[in-house]
This record gives sequence, C-alpha cells and structure tokens, in this order.
Amino acid sequence: MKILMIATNNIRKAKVATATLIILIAIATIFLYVGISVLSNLDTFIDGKNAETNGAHFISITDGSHDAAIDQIYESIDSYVSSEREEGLMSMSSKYQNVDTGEEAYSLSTLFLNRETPRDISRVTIIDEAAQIPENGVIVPYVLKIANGYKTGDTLKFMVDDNTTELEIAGFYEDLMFASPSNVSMYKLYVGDRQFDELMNQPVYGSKCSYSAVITDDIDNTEAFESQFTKDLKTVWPERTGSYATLSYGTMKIGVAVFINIIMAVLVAFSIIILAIAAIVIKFSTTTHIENNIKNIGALEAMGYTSGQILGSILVEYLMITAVGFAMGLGASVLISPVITNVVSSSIGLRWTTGIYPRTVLISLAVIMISVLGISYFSAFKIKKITPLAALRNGIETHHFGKNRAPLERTKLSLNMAMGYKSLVFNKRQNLIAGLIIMMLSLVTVFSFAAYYNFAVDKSAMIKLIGLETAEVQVTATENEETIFDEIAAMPGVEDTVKLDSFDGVIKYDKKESGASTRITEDYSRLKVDTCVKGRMPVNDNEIALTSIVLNKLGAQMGDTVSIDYNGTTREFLVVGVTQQFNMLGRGAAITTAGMKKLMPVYQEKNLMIYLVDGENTKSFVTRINNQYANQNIQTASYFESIEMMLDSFEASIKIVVTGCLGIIAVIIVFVMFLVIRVRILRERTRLGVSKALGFTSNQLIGQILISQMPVIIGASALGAVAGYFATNPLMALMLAANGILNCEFYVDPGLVLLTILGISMLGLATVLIVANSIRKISPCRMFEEGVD
Amino acid sequence: MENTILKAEMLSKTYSNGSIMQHVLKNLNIDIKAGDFTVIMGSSGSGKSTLLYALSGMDKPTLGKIDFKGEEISKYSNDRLAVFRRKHCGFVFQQIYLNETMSVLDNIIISGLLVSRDKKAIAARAKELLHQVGMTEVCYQKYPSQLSGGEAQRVAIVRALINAPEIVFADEPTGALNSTNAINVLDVMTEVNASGQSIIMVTHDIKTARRANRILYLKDGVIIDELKLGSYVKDDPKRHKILREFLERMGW
Repeated sequence: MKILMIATNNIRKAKVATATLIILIAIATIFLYVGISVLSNLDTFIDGKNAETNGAHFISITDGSHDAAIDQIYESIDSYVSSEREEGLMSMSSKYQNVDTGEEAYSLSTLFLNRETPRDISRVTIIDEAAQIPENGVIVPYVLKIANGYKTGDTLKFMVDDNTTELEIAGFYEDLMFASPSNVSMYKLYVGDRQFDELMNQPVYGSKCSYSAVITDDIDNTEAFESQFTKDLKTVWPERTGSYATLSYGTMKIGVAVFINIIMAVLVAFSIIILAIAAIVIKFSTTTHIENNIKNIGALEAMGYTSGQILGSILVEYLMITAVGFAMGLGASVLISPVITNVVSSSIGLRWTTGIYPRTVLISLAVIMISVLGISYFSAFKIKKITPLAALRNGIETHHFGKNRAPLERTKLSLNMAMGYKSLVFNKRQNLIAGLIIMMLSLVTVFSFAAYYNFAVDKSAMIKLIGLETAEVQVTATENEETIFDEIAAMPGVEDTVKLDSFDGVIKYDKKESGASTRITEDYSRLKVDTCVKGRMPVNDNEIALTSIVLNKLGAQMGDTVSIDYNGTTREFLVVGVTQQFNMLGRGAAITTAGMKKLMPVYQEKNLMIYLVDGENTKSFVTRINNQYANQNIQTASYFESIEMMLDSFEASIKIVVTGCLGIIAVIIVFVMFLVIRVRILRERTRLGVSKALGFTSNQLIGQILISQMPVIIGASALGAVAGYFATNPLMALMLAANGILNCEFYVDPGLVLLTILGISMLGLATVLIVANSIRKISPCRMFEEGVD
Repeated sequence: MENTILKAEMLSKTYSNGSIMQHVLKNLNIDIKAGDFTVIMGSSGSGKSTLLYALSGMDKPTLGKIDFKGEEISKYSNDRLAVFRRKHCGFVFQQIYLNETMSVLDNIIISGLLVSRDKKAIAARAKELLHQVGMTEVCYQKYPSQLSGGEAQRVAIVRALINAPEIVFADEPTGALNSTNAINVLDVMTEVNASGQSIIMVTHDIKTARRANRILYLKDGVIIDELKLGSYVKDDPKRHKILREFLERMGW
C-alpha cells in the first residue's frame, strides 16, 4: 500500500514523462496487437472462409481437350475426394474499365462462368447483391470492391481488342483461389445465363474452356496434389498448349497472405522500435527521477524503507503506466479496426473481420510488460547500491568536473551560441537519447517513403523484385512462331524482343525435389531485369540457376548438379547461379533454350516479350499486332500494364500503413522533444531564473535552448535519413528473405531523404520552440522561488 | 548621497490562489538614494524578498509605480526589464545560484557579455574583481562545486559587480554561510558600497544589518519604521546598541 502511494506520487510528479510513456506504450500495443492478431489468425481465417463455401482445393482450367484423362488423373491421386466440372469462357487478352470512375483501362485475363450453373464446390455467396440482378449483371471478386472501390450498380466495361461489352456489377463474391489479381492475374466473373451464352457465342471474346474444381481429403497438402497432377498430366499431354492454369489451395493461400504478412511484420517491427524508444524514455526518466529525488530516497531509506521497496515502487509506477498505455492501445486497436479490416481485406481479397483475440491480447501484454518492467528494473537497479547517508548527501555524483567547453573568455562564438553549445555538451546524455530516437524515426521515415514510392508510385523496382520482365507487350503464338516473332521484331516502334517461356518444372537433388517455375530463354544477358544475385545466369545447355528457396528446399548449393524430369526424360544441370523472385512464392529456376531442348528436342519458344521504343503507345501497338495477325492463333497482352494493375491492389494498403506510420512518427517526435525540453526546463528552472535575473531576455534563453537542440535534431535526422538511404534495401531484403529475396533494389529518392531531414528537423525544432516558450510566462524570481521540480 | 536613484510609490503586491487573496505588500513608499546601503528587515513572511524583487524589476507590482532615475520601470515589458537589470542592477542570493556547469570565470563573464562584447576587457575586469575579493587565479577555472560557500558567494558578488551596476540587490547573502565566510562577504559588500554603489539587502541577521546606513523594518507588507545609522564604522558598540534597541522596539 505504501509502495503504491510512492508510485502514484512519482507519477504525479512526472506527468510529461508519464504521458509520453503511455502514448508510446499505446502505439506499440496497437502495432503489436494488430500485427500479431493478423499474423496468427490469418491462416485459420482463410481456412474458415474457404470452408464456408466449400472452396476448391485444386483448380484446373484447360481447353477441354483432355477432360477424361484429367478426371482419371484426379481419381488416381490418393487424396482425391470429389470434383466438379463446368464450361467457361477464357479470355487471355481482356481489358477492363470502370465506366463510373472513368479510370484508365487495364489488362487482365478473365474466366467467365455461368452464375446459374448448380455447384457444390466454391459456392457463390453474393455480397452487396443487387435487388434485381440485370441481364448484363456480373458477380465480381470482392477485391474489386475493397481495393478498387467498385460498388454494386457500377458499370464494368469488358474489352477485347475493339470489342466491348458493358457489364453491371450485381454483387461481389469471395473465393481464395481468385481472391486477388496479384496472386493469379485473372478475374473469375459470374454472369447470368443469357449473358454467358452471348459471350460464349462470340469467339472474339475468348475461347471456351473447361473449369474443374477438386476437393481433397487433405487441405494442408494440396501442393502435393498439384505436383502429382502436373507430373501425371505431362505423360498424357506433353505439350499442354491448352492448359490455362492449375491452382492449388495451399499455394494460393500462401500467395494471398504474402503481402499482408509483410505489412504485419513491418508493424510488429515498428512496435519493437517504439518499445525501444519507450525503453530509452524509461531509462531517461528513471535516471532523472533518481537524481532529482535522491534526498527523498535517502529520507525514505532512513525511515526504514528498504531499497528493494523503493525499487518496487518504481516498478509499480511503470506497471501502472504500462497497464494504462496497454488498455488505451487495445481500445485504440478496436477503434481503428475498420482501417485494419480495410488494409487486410484489400490485400487478401477476402472480408477480414478484426476481433478481440484473448490469446493475442495476452501475448501482446506479456511482450510489453516484460519489456517495460525489464528496462525499468535495470534502469532503477542502482537504487539498491545507494546508502541512505550517501543519498541524503546527494549520493549520486552531480558535481561537474568536466572540461570547460568554449570558455567565454576565449571563444569566438557569440554569447547565445556559446551558451547553447555549453548546454548541448552539458546535457549530452539527454541529447544522445533524443538523437538516437530521432535517428531511428528518421530511418523508419525514409524506409516508409521508399516503400510507398516503390509500391505505389514507380513500380519498376517492385516488378524487378517480383522477377518479371518489364516488356510492354507479350505475344503468345502456337503456330508459325518463328516467322511471327521475326516479323514483330522488325515492326516500327519495337525497340527489342526476347523470347521467354516458362514451365512448371520439378527439380531433384539427392532424393529431394522442389517445384519451380522454370524460365527458358536463349541469352539471359538480353533480359532487361537481371534476377541473378549470386554467380551467373546459365549460358550453356547443362547449366541452371535456382532461387535460394529452391536451393534450400533441395539442400543444394552452387556447384551442385541437380536434375529435371520432363515427360520421362531426365537431364542433369549444374547450378551456376542464384536468382531471386517474389512470384511463385520464390520458387524459380532458369535454363537456356538449348538446355530445354535437351529435355524436349522439339521445343519451340512460344512467348515473345516486346519492348517498345519510348513514346510508342502500347494500346495501339497491340491493336496493330492483332489486326496484322487476325488469322493466326496468337494472344496479345499489355504485359507491363497488367503487372502494374496487379500491384495496384496493394497501393491502398501501403498508403494507409505508410500514412499511419508517418503520423505516428510525427507524434513520437513531438512527444519526445516535448519531454526532453520540458524536463530540461524543470531541471534548469533555477538556472533559467537566475539568468533572467541577471538580465537575459526570454528570447535569449529560448534561443539558447534552440541552439543547443539544433545539432541534435538536424544531425540525428540527417544521420538517420542517410542511414535509411543505405539501409532501406538491405532491410527490405531481410523482410522478404522468407520469399528468397537476397537483394533488393528499391529506388530511394534523395529528394525524399532531404524532405525527411527537413520535415523531422522542422517538426522537432518547432516543438522545442513551442515548449521552450513556456519560459516567457514565468517571472524570474518565481522561477527560483519554486525550486527544482 | 541625496540623489534618489530608486523610488517606489504606493507599491502593492497581491498574490491570489483561487479565491484566497494574499496582500504581501501594501501601499509602500520608498526612496533609495545613490550610495545608500539599505537593509530591509522583518519577520518571516513580512514581504522583504517580495519588496526586493519588485524594486529590482524581477517581479511586477500589482499596484503602484517604481521609478529608476525618474523613469518608470514598472511599466516596462519583461524584456525591457531584463535589459534594465543587466545594465543597472547586480544580484546576490542566499543560495548563491552560480551556474554549476560553468567555471568561475565563465559565471562572471556571462553577465559581462550581456552588456559589452569586449571579452578581453570583461575578463580583465572579472579577474581584477576576483582579486579584490581575495580569489586567486587558481580558482578561475574551478567549478562552483569545487569552491567553499564563502568563495562561491564572493564569486557571486563579483558576478553582480561585473557591469558596475548602480544598485546591488542582495537577498540574505550570508544566510547560508558560516560566520567567518559571512564576515568576509560583508566586508566585500561594505567595500562595494564605499566605492559608491547602492546596496539594498534583505537580512535577518543583526550583524549583517549593522553594515547598513539605513534600516527599513517591514511588518505585514508595510514599512512600520526606519532607522538611519550613518556610515559604517567597524567595531562601533554604539551602532550595535542603537540597532538592537530599534529592533527591540519593532518586536524583534
């Protein structure tokens, strides 16, 4: 009880430090709780969502030419339970435009299914269903609502070349497999009977396809099902020219969660940074508290309190502060849950609901309590070493015997500059603490700016990270490939072309195997995006480069020989390099065209990446190609545009997270500077009073404080921002390491680095100026009558 | 001696704390002549320090006016009062209040630099004054915590004198010192006064008060009496007796 009294008294006496700590703990709680709750519940949430509609475990979309064989393969796999097959329309080169917002059209493949077909797997539950579904009504993925802002009743213009069909959005559906175009660059749309027939009867919109959905008895091993299916399919359908897509639940689930997991990992990391700042504030205020109250501590010890009890009172004080801060943070987490719901939902394309998770609450509380109380204990531990007599005699060394910096007799500095400098040196501990905090925040600011810039403004670095080429157009031809590709390369407006294919390969090494999206091209040095991070890309027909994810899974390394099994032919390849890619969950490989011909002697490249000259219009170029090869079996896509579109769904989430982080950084800077200056004014009240009595004006004293803070704030923000400039890419690579990213080349705009320095400096100095202004209100005699706080 | 340097008319100071009003000074009229060594005495809570702070421009009166050499300083803004203090006043406090983070010499020069930019001249004057109060060169670069109480107070006196102020305000300057150090400090103050500078000092101590040529006795915010003692003469028993009788009359 007495300890509680001392603790509450301590809190009353240090209101600013208490308020700062409460806010820091509250912010750390928000980030930690939100981060952990999403990270730990996402998996269960997605499984639950899938179970609600009896979502498919595996999906295959083909041209229908091998349906019977495929069904046989399904049935031959042990985990198979049931499947459904229906007819659909596959449009590989479709474009969309939201007529109501008038936004630019974007490219994305489309799978049309008939809404009225009865189905038990992946049932369609409509969200925001129109009161009456019109004939051209379409049910679209939920991501269009949450990430792209579509509403029921909006008109969606579906375009293929010069042909257009206007569809009216009649509702939204959730399906993990087609949740986000960032995962599978395809929309699955449900239209009514009449509309479906109309589309099916117009070949210009696409090809008829066979869509099959499978349920297995082991939802956790759908990748194995996919792997077996792929392997078996190759035996019955080697060229697989009409196989549009195979999707497994496991792969899609991981893919859907990758981005939000990164965001949540950033939030947890940010909460740890804030806890580190809180630790610095605790260390600072505990030391200040002990110094200022050393005589009171001595008196309490003289009265019979043990140093353990006094230490206990400090721990109780921080326990109370932490409890209040945690409760506030938890409350705020509930208040901001609509924002979090929005961020998570727009990333995963499913309706996320943020709730209170008792286990997460306990984990967050434990992390915060242990951190705060641990730091408090170590900060206040020196009390145990203070004897009552030493305490009463001002036991802790407060005398100053340091070197006299800038002696006024000799210094060339003006009086105010010299006083500011002396104050800077004298308060070096507090300044170091403030500097460290500002440095960390400055680094995080540059990192946030860079993340925003590369995710939302200029996506080329992100596209490079994903491991895709930056070609504007992609043409797929299934006949006369060589002639068509040569002609396209010679077309005006074409800067360069590269033949680049890929297939789902199975790489084997020492009884282990791993699936990998294997790229094939003749000369990797001609690609615009270099994904090699170690060694080199393959040059000879017996060479391969693998991502670190594949290497780790195989237990192989550069210099080892791995094998690829393709249609019963096995060939060995020497690992000559390590590549990185974000797509396909980081599982990638690269071999040369000559290498592929060892596996399949009749192999012929089918994909051409086309790089246009600057200023060439992608849309008109695509139209030109389609017109020129109207009678040939080719598919054209605005490649770069569709990748950008894929990334657009992240933009809203990144914007919210970055804005939130920047806002919180600003709040922390204001509070920390407020705390530092307020405490300094309270501690130096007497000196300031005497200075005023001697004839210093308020402006001079405020100026001195400002001068003493300038090097700290400007220096620390500059150091932090420069560190951010250099550390952004390594940090980003570290965060994406789980996806096999070893090297990141995000563009860090020097202008934003400068803006960070300017912004943080201005904010910090403005706070100093405002807080220091309180000197003005107090008359000099009262300042030292009141004594030191 | 007869020129009025500082004059207060109908000076009142009231502090309010919620609905409670505390009238610390009540309609005081005071004339301080150039060269006067004025001591303000009175029991605790009588308003001595408040009067000292009001006269020095450190605090603003609630009512009344204060003139310095015919100019009303009670109307000055805070910044103008600061400039007034740096140019015309010196301060010596009971708690000394040297800046613990600065050397002895810097503690003095800092005040000098408020008035002049000639660092060399200020430093030379500071050293001269330190020498006058018996501080040797060894002390120049010491920090206040390395000095004895008497030494520190002598440094504070030099700080108060660095700009050759017309008035030195002293609030119980010997209050925290032992008797030997107190006598040393009073000797310095007496010498300062002998050189023509006015001193206004608050004290509880009869030995300290003996140095003054004028004693004002304050009770409940009002000057109830005044004693003129004439110039200080060391070891004058008659002076001590007159002062004691005066204080006894005041109920001391």
